[in-house]
Amino acid sequence: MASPLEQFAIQNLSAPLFSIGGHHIAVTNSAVFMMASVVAASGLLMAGASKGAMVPGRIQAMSELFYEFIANMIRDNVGSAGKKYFPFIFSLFIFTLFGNVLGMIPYGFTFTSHIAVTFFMAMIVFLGVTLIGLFKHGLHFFSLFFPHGAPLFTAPILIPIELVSYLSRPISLSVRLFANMTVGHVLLKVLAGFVVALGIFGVVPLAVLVAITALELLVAVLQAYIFTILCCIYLNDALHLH
Amino acid sequence: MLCVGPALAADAEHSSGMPQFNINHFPTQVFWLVVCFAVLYFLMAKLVLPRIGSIIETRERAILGDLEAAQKANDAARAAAIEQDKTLTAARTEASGIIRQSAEAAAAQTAAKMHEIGGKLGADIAAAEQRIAEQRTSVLAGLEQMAGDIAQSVFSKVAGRPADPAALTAKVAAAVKGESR
Repeated sequence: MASPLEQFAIQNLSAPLFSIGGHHIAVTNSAVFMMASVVAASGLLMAGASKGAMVPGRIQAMSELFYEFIANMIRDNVGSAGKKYFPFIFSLFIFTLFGNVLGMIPYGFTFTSHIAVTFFMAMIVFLGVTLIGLFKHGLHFFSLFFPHGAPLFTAPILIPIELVSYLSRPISLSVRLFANMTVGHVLLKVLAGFVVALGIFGVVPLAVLVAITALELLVAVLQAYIFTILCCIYLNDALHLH
Repeated sequence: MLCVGPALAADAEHSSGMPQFNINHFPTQVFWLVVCFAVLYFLMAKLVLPRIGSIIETRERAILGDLEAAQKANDAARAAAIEQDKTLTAARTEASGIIRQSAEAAAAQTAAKMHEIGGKLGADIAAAEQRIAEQRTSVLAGLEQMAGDIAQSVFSKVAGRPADPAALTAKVAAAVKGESR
């Protein structure tokens, strides 16, 4: 029986196309699913946006739902200053969502279950948000690390705590998504192994497997939402400090 | 780790644990992530989002416009209703005025006619009364004459000689006068 971790293996599906800094870049299963996410997401959204009907059809209603969902999220968590970052946050949500959900397809690949991907995304968000805060507030940005109104003598304790919590944001953000996706898929694989191993009694883990699959679909959507809303909250911190 | 493909077999040599922690695959993933995300971002920012945004905005504007038009129509209808009410009230007052006027005129006419008829009837009654009085006097005069004649013949038959006409007349006149009282 295959290891439950086998599903996460990166496989080269082509010969290396070129190399950057000594690293050979080939088309991998991860890359295929990233491309599939981009194609599926933009295909769906463009199909939804193409008609522009006054009374939307199903696909258009879905596209508008995505749009208004993220627009409301930004308006509620960041305010009007966040409007500029709407396309980025929208893309982040759609990319993560489609990556998570497409990964649920049997024999598929979940690129969001890789720390390299989630950490890079989290790092981009973290660095971008920090730079936005620095550009907007200058050195005043560092008041973020000392809560307004706290007694001055608490500074030696508070500032390191705030600094560590701030610096750990990309780690928590990326590990949350990576760990959730990885654990879910491992669990599915292990349960599927039981189904095969138990023969006729495999119907019991099969029933559990169905339930867990539904749960994992929920987790896939929820984690995309959490990833996006945390980015919004970080952006809000940078734009408005505390 | 049991592997199925030759590609995987090559990979498995690098790491014994989770494929996620195989550093060798990081650059490839990051490269494709950057490429795919950039394409997605470009498509969203330049094509999809402005279009969906404009669709939603157009719809909101259409709904607002419709609501405004409905409000305007409603106001117009209300104003027309008030106007109609006013016209109706004016017409009603006018009508009741006309009714009152014509009633008064009719009453006045009736009164005048009654008066005229009353006058005529009074005159007729007066004339009739006068005629009755005349007839009565003439009848009374005749009665006196007749009483005189009867008294003359009664006296001559009883006394065997004609009565003194002057004395008889005076007696009859006194008797008639007493009778007619």
